[in-house]
Amino acid sequence: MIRKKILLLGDFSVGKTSLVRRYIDGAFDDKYLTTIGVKIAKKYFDIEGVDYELIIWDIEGSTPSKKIALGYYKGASGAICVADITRKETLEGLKEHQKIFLNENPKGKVVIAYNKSDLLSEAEKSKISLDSNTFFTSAKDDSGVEEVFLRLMRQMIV
Amino acid sequence: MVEKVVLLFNEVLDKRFEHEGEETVKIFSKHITKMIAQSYKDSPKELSFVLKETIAQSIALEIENNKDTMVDSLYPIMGSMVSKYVSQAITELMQNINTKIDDGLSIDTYKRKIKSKMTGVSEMELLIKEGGKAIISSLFVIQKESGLLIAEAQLQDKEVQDPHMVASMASAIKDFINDWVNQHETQDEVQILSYGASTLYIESAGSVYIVAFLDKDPEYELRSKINAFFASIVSEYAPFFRTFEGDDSAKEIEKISAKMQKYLALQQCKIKPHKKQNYAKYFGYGLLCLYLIYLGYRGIIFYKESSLESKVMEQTGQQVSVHYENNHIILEGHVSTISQLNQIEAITAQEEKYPIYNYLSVSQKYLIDTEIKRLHTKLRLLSKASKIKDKELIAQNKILSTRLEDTNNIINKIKNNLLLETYSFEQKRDKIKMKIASSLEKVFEESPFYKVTYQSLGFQDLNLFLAGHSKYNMKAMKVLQNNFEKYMEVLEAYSPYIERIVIEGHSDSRGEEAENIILSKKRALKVRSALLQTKIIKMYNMQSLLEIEVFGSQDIIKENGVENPNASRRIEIRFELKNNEVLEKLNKIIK
Ligand SMILES: Nc1nc2c(ncn2[C@@H]2O[C@H](COP(=O)(O)OP(=O)(O)OP(=O)(O)O)[C@@H](O)[C@H]2O)c(=O)[nH]1
Ligand SMILES: [Mg+2]
Repeated sequence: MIRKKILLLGDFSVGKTSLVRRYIDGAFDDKYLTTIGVKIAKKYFDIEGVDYELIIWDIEGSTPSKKIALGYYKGASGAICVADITRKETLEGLKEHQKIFLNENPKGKVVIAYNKSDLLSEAEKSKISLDSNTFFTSAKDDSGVEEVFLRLMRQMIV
Repeated sequence: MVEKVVLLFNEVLDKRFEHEGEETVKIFSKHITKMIAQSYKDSPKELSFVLKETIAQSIALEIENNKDTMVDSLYPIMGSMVSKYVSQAITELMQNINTKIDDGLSIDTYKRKIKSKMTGVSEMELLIKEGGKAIISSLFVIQKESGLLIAEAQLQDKEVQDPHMVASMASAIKDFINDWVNQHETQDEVQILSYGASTLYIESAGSVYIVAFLDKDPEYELRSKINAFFASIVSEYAPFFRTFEGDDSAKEIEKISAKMQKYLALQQCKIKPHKKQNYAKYFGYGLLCLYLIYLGYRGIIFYKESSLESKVMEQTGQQVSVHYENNHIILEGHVSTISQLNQIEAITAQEEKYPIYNYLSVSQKYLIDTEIKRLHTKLRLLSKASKIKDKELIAQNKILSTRLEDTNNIINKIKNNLLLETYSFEQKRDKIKMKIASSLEKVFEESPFYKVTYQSLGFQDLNLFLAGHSKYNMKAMKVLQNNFEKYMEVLEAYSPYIERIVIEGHSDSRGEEAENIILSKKRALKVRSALLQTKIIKMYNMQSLLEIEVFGSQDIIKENGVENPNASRRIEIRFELKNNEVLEKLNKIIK
């Protein structure tokens, strides 16, 4: 078994906890319960016959005025940076999250989730171009969630 | 002496605090901050050690009574890093750790629970009052950076349920606190975290934390023992810890775990007798009875569980585990098909009225395993079949090759026979040829027209024809006829062997070759009709033997490298023995 620590980063209320919940429990809740500190979960999977376990650190949402303890970032192999596609400022925040993460883990891998994509119409979505490491996700509709985690794992394994 | 004075002084002070609180506190509080500041400067470690106990206790109490106000009032002191969220976050994580420390079946816990019910004293208090030394129930080695659990060892009845999660949580708490500690430049690292019934003693070394899970705060003696043990592990495995990348199959991990497990086991041996004393002191036989009743109750449940399990096993062939918990039935384990999953739930529902939590899962590994097994047997069958085929092929191959050998032998025999026959025939022919040659030689002796090498007649110096003409000179023709008759007289004796007599017509090389060919043909034909008139041909009816061959200027006669046209314009006569061609054909076949 190979274990890897990964992080969920992003501004508050973008849906980090919801993504983890969807991925692990297959469930979703409309209620907003802000994460305090960090919530830890794990997920087993295997790729080509090798056992892996992700230790997922779902970290409280940060804002410029409320920074996160750097210790949380350390020793992570990858991160999913999450933005709320309906809130512009959370998209702008992505760069900063990536920067801090890569600063602490120069070899770390990053993928990006544009979450709450269920709130956009297809027409609106088609206007946004995505690169191969960016995904539309919806914890509510369960779209793109598996894909974003899988993409990160594959990046981390190579 | 000094000690006694100090003691006395302390007593006086204590009394004063009790009776004239306000006044004394006023006086003291003027100086106390200064004193603390001074001693912090001089020896910060000692101070923090002295204060830790009292401060920690009072803070804990204060938090308990007045959580929010307390945190709010601490907020400005601790800075922006600590908000009320933070204390909550740590509380939550610690709570999680606690729930993951399985004390559900530990005998100690039941003793405590029963005692608490009987005496009305809270379990917590009992826990604190319970004497004896702290017991380490688990040891974790956690990578500092990632919070990943590298190795663990646990006492059997006190196992942490999900060690990997707990390791990460503990390191998250530690991360957070260290962050805060760094910001405030305090030298002390946080080493002990307590919450409810669990205490984490954390020692940081190089790239790892080593965490001991205890039932109460460890005393100084135990701490130094733990430290010595930690140090031995860290010094041995430091390079491995540094390069650890989450792969738990490394053989070092097993060694470390075994070492820690041994350490835990040894500790239990030492402590057991001590525990027995306590047991006798605190509970007595009554408790034992209660405990037995409880065990009986557990026994009934256990019986029910196992009979359900065996029923499921009987009907579906699946090994699953059944638990009764808070008036629920929990089904756990792996089954191989989804229909079995439902079938097992139905079986359980038939037996029990309690609501069922069906946590059975269809194991993918199981599915894959069976698939692999199936493929294996298929492969085995295929390879068996192919082996049979192979055998058949080999046998057939053998038959074929023996047949091939036979055929080869037959062919060789035929070949040899043919060769032998040919050989004997050729020998015979050669003999005849030699006889003819010697007879001809005798007859023609010194004749200029007889060519010994070819046993043929050549009339090149006879001027039989004029250049460009096919009309012959009568005199010359007479000479030719005479010689021919002599030639044929010899050959007649061998006539059964003679295939044919060839009259060759040759021309010189002057003029067009086409005309030369026509001319030499005409000449040969003229000679043939002249020879047909000879007596000997007529007498023996050998007309059919006479044939012509036309050469044109293909075979001119040269003297000293220059053509002699008169010699070239000539007739030659030779004989051919029978079966030349047949023999050649045979030779071709054999080759
Ligand atoms: N429509 C929609 N709502 C979502 C989705 N994901 C999350 N939400 C909602 O967004 C809110 C915030 O979700 P959380 O998952 O708690 O967000 P978070 O990033 O963990 O927030 P913090 O822990 O405070 O940093 C909740 O009310 C969710 O129900 C989504 O995909 N679609
Ligand atoms: Mg959250």
